[in-house]
Amino acid sequence: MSHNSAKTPLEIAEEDYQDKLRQKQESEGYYDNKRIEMGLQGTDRVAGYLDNPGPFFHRKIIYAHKDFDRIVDAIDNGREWIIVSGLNPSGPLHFGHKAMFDILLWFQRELGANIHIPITSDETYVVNKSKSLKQSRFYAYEYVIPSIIALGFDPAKTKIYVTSDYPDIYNLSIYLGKYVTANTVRGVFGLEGSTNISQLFYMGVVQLAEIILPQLPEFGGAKPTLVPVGIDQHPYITLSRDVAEKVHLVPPAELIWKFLISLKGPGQKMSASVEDSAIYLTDKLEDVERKIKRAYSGGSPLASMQKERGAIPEVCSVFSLLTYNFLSNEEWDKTLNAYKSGEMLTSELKKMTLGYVLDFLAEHQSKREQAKKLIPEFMLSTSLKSFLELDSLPGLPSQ
Amino acid sequence: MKFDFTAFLNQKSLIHQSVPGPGRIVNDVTSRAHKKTLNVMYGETYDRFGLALGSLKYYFTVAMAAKLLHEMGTNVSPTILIADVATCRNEPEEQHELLMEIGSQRASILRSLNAVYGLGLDVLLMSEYLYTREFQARVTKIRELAKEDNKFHEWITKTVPESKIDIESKKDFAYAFDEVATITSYDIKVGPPREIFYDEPARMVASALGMDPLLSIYLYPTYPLGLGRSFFLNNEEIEKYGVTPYKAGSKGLEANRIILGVTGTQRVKELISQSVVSKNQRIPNAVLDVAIIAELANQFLAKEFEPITIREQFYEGSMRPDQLRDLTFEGIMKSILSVIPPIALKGMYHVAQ
Repeated sequence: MSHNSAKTPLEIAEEDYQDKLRQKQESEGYYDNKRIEMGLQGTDRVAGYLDNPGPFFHRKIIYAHKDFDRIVDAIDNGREWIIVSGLNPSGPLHFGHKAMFDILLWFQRELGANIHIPITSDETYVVNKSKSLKQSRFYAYEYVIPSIIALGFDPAKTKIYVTSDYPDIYNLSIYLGKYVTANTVRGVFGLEGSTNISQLFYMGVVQLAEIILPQLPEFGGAKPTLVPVGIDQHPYITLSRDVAEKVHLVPPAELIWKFLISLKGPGQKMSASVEDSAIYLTDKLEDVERKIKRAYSGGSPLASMQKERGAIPEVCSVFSLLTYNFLSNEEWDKTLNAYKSGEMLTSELKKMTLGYVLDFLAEHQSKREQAKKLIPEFMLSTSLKSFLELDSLPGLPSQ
Repeated sequence: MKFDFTAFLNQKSLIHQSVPGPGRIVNDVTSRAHKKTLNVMYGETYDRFGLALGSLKYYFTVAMAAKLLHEMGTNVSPTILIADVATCRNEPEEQHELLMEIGSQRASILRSLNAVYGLGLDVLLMSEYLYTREFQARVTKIRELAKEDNKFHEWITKTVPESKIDIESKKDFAYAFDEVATITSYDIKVGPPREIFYDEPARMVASALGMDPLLSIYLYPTYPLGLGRSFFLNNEEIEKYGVTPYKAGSKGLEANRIILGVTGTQRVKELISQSVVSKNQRIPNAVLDVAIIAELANQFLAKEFEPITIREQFYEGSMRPDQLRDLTFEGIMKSILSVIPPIALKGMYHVAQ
């Protein structure tokens, strides 16, 4: 007889509750510590300065920033600014990706953002998330780009490119690479000698070239650039800021968002590389139902305990799915309070979430097919010549 | 709606806070009115940049309070105190003569404003009473009372920015004690919110001095004009307290203030159009303050008084930012800039513009 079998249901539920409390503290501590360690500021103050802070600030999904006030300044004074945010195409998009694109969409719809979306097929390949460039390019055009378009971006304000099909980016990388040493790249990313040279090149310069690209004369020159990223991407921004200053361009600002919790529980993000940790935008409806039913929740195994103490939404993958993807702020506040107070049980939360997810997927999957026809409207094809023909980039005056 | 002193105290557009609250102020005023003349005051220092529009808000408010108290059958004495000696304290000695002269000029412009708007305000210079035996005895008494009271000292320390505590401490907080001694002799004081740091210690010593405790009316902070939201985002202290309303050069932002007789029509227009005006109440709204001052001026010119509701119309109603800007520009031109005779402002500023 195992030790556990001797425990009463109440004892098991109590242990589960204490575990969840601990997970909540760990998760909050992780984000707070990282913010302080990386010298980033909290977003409460800047969010208060937006006329409509939208769902992502309200729900503390976006929780830290560096230089976001430069963006506020640009918006306020009607000056040009841009967002750069991409991803590597290692398969279909999941709801974690959707949440990131929803953040971009919110900036575009509410604040008029122009957006560059690099789809980094080269990164997918060099970090072994695809067996070939052919495969990562296939993912890009078959799944990723149609899904992005289907989410509703404005073609006049959104430019997408697949890095391996936009070789000019490599010319720019060579140009900027002169300002980055191998030691810096190894130090910033903690890479070892066994790292393949393509990965070193990608991490060291290609990603920063993607961030700096909109400041080239071909795109209107130096301008504030906002890069919304997860906390693990912060080193890229640090490197980009350093290089931007060296070439007299505007150091990019960053907004840090918290990861969408994996369906398997807190401590890991929704990820394509962990089976059943994510719901994909291409999932069949019956698979979604199965995943949500099995998803890790913030509730108690005993309904009576949950009614008494309430759930712990901060560690609940299902509540997280709702938080990142659905509900108005008013509905979200109401649901949060109901779940937290014990008024709403996990089964009710899962049913509600399933409804939202299935409705969204039915519509999205149909739009995604139609979106394939719109791909050419969104693709960036601007030829890059400025840094080939000029002695230096016409950026900000030298300091 | 009847516009009486109670309605005056409840004007959300004008009054940020009152201590100890509208109801108790009305009760106190009523009981004091039986035995004496009520003294209502606002006091200000100044600088060499000229008369900031922000001062007018306080002049008009004191005059309006006095008018409504008078209508209640109360004897009222409304006073604007010009703290000429205090102004000189932190300035080099060679400038004292000029600054004292500016103080006298400020007193004379106040008399002109009395004539233009019918304000009925008395003007008192600090130099006229500071060195009297009676006043010095009161300061000494307050210093003695303060020695035994840590809480009093805590408030006095808060009257100066942290960076200047050492300097003021070496001067035994002379300015703060003079200010407290001055305001204890008044019944109602109008001022910006930050003056609670003087008013609280004044209330603490009132009974020991045999005085009635001070009643305070705090108006909304004044913000610099012509600046976007990122300025306030990056200047938290200005976001919280604004600039000193009566010092045109407060925080080095004289270019962002309307200075009577100095700031031309075109610049006023620019300052209004370039200021952030948002429905988000978290973001300082410098234009709204100008609109309210213009409306106060308009009511005094028309001699028709009613509660000011522009703040509510903007934040709770359908007034758009562009409408507020238009209303503000038209209002200030019509009721202030085209009304005050330039001759009245002669000699008010002493720096190259």
